[in-house]
Amino acid sequence: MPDARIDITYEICPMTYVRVKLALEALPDGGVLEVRLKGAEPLKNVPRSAREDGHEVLSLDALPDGTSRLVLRAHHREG
Amino acid sequence: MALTEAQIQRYGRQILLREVGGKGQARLLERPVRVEGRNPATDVAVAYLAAGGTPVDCRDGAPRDGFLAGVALEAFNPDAASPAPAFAVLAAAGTAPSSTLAVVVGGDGLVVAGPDACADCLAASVATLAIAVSPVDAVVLGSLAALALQRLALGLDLAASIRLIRLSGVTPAAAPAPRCPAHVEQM
Repeated sequence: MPDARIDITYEICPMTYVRVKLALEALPDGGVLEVRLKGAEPLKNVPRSAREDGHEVLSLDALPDGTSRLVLRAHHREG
Repeated sequence: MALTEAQIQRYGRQILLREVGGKGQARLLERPVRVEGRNPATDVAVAYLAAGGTPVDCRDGAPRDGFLAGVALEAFNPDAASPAPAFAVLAAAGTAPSSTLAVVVGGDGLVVAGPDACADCLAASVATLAIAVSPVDAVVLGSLAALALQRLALGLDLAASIRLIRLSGVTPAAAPAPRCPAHVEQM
């Protein structure tokens, strides 16, 4: 069960990861965020950017409606 | 402070930066800079600061050069026109900054002073800066000054006491900062 959910299927780059980044910041360390996304660009860039920011990709699944569900665990760096 | 939807849209690319994020952007919005004195480099710095969401108090008048010439800060970015108390000072060389948390920019470099800076060491470094600023150098020095102030607001350079950055051609490089007599004795 995620701690928060966001839908970025209606967003375009760079706002796709901006929304995800802000949602991850709002979670406590270890919190889980579920992201609904759509399209090749966010599918490639959002998990990569999340990893680069130190977060953990728990799963990425395609859904029957053509969107994808990405589950992330927030890890906040000190400082 | 929570960012508004308009602020998320406006500062989205800045929020993406690892050192900034949403919390950092909120810090930038909450930490105004007061401008003391002016030269072409401070005019450039004001434009960069205002665009990034830092409230700017231009007590010596609005920028007269660059792309903010004749443009009210409030019209350029309403977030930049907040009259809240200043967090740090942006000063033109030849002006004694009223705070030691300051960036002073002159024609051949800039001085960045953190919260632990000695006022006399700051004055010694500022005294070495050229007063006149060419329009070309103003772009480099002004953008650097804005970046230095943003880093101070983000808490990224709080350990720094005094740093002197000199322009060599169009390339900035760290230079030894002069010290006041009391601190020269300690070295």
